Amino acid sequence: MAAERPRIPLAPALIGLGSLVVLLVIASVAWGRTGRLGMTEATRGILAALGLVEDDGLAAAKASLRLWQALTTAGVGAAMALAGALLQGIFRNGLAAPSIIGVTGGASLGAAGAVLVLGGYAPTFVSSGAQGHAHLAVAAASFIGALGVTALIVSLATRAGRISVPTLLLAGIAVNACCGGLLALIQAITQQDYEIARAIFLWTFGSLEDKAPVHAASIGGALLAALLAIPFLATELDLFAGGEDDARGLGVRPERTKALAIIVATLLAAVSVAVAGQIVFVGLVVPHLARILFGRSHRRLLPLVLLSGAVFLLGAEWAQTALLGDRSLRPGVLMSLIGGPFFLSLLVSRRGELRGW
Amino acid sequence: MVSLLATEGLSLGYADEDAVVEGLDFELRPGELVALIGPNGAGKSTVLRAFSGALVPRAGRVLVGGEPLARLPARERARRVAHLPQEPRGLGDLLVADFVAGGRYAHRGRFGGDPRGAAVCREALERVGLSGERDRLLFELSGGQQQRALLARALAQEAPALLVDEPTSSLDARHQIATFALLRELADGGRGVLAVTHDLNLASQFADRLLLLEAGRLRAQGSPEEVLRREVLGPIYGDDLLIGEAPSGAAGGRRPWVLAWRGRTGDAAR
Repeated sequence: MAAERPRIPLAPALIGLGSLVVLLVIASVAWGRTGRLGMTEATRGILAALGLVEDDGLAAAKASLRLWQALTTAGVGAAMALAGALLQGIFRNGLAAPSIIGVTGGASLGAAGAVLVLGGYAPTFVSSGAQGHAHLAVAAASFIGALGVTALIVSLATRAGRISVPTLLLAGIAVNACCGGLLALIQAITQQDYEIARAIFLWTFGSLEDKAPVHAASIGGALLAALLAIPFLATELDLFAGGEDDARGLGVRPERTKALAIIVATLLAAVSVAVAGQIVFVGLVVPHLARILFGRSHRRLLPLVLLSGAVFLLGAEWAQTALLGDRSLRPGVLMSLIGGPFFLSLLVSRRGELRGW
Repeated sequence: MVSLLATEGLSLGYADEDAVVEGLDFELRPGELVALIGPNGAGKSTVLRAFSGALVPRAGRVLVGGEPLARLPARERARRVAHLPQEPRGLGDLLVADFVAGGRYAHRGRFGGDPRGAAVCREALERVGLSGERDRLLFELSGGQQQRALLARALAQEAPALLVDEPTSSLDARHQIATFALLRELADGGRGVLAVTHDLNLASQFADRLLLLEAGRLRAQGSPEEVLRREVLGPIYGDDLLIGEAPSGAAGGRRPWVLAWRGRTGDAAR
C-alpha cells in the first residue's frame, strides 16, 4: 500500500463534506427530471416537507418528492461507501467491497425472491411508494439474502479459523455468478408478469426515484446503527492492519471485530439494496478516494467515508440529472460505467501486490 | 514468586493435524531472559502463539501471572503479555508514533481515556532510540529501526512478560548484539523475556536459560553451558557443529559458542 499521510485535518473535512451534502440535497431538489425549481423555491419546499414552514403549493409538493429521493440517495451512497470501507479494513484488502464479496448479489436475490413470493404487493412498493408490510418483508428478505450469501462466502474462505483473502475473492466471484444465474432464472419465470418483472428490473439496476419518507428513514436507521458501532470498530480495524495475531496480541478480540464489521457492512448493504436496488462500485471507489484524501486511520476514515459516499452518489445523480434531464441513466448503470474502469485501474496498479497472493 | 508465564503439560496443534507441541512444562520468572531454541519446525513460534490466545491448547494449560489464560479477558492478557512479531507486516504506512500508540490499546477506555498514554509512548521511543523518527512512516525506517519500533510498541504495552519471535533474523551483527543487549536490559529491569531464536551464540551470551525444543518436545533446558554441548546438540542439529568456549574477558564470562561448519565435528581446542 502506498504511503498515505493524512492530508486534510478532520474537523474541516467533516464540516466541508457535511455542507456539501446539504448543498447537493438542495441542488437535487432544484434540478429534477420534471423541471427546474428556483433555489429559494427548493429551499422553501424542503422546509415545508420537513414541517418547518407552511406551504402547500405545487412547487412544495414537487420539492417534497425530490427531497425524499435526495435523502435516500445520500443515505444509500453513505451506506455503500461505509460498508466498503469496513470490509476493506477487515479483510485488509482494497479489493473487498459489498458487490465483490456477494453482499449486494445476495441482497438482490433475496429481494427478488420476496418480490416473486409477494407478487402484487412488492411492485406497488417499488413503483409508487411504501406499502408498510411489503416494504418490511422485502427489506428483511434482502437482508437475509445478503447475510446468507456473505456467510456462505466467508465460510467457504475460512480454514482453521482464518479467512484466506484470495479464496474469499474467488468464492465471491463463484457465488456471485450463482446469484446472478438464480436472479436471471427468477426473471425468466416472471417475465410474463409485467409488474414483477419491472420490480426486479428496477432492483437489478438500482432506482433512486419515487422515494417516500420510509425509504429515507430505513437507510437513516441503518446508518445510525452503523454510527453507533464505529467506536467499537475504528481502532480495532487500525490494529488489524498487522494481521489477526498481531491485533490479538495487543488485546483486540479479532473474532468479535470481524463479526461486528461484517454484520454492520451487511446491514448497510442490505438496506441499501432494499430501498434502491443494486448500485455497485460505490463501496469500492469511495473508500479508496477517501483514503487518498484523508489518510487510512479508520477513526478518521469511517465518518469521512460516510459523508464522502453521500457526496459521491448525490453529486453523480445531480450531475446526470442536470446534464441529461429525462434521459438520465439508472444509478446502477452509471456507477458501473464509472466504477468498472476504476476497478480495472486499481488491479493494474496493484499487480505487484497481487503476485504475492 | 509467581511466574509471569507458565505452561503445564501443554499440547498444541492445528486443525486435525498431529500435535505440534506435546507435554510442555515451562516457567518464565521476572528478571529472566529465556531463549527458546530448536530446529525449523520444532514448534517454537507455535508456543508463542499459545501465549497470546491465538491457539487453544489441546491438552494442559497456559498460566499468565498464575491465572489460566483462557479465563483472562483479551485486554487484561495484553496488559500482562506483549508479543513482538518478526516484522511490521502490513503496518508499513503508519507513522511511527501512531504505530507505537497501538501498544496502548489494552490500556485505553472505549472512548479514549488513557492519561499516561502519550508519556509512556514517548518514553518507549526514547528507550529504543527512535525519538527523532516519530513522524516518519514505518517503512521508511531501516530494518534495525523497524525492529526497534516493534520493541517500542511492546514497551508501550507495559506488560511484565515479553515474547519475542526471532528478533535478529534480518539484522546485521551490530544490530543483533544491540537488540539482545536491550532485551537483557529489560530482563534486568524486572521483565521476563522469552525469545525465540536460531542464533545459538546470541542465546549463549545473553540468556539465563535455554529451552531446546525438537519435534514439539522439550529436549533440554538449563544454562548455556548445560545445553550448548555436543551430546545435546549433535543428535538434533547434526554433526557439522564446532563447539568452543568464548575467551575470558568477554562480557558474560566464559560461555560456549557454536559454529556450523561442514565436516567439522567435535569440540574446538580450548
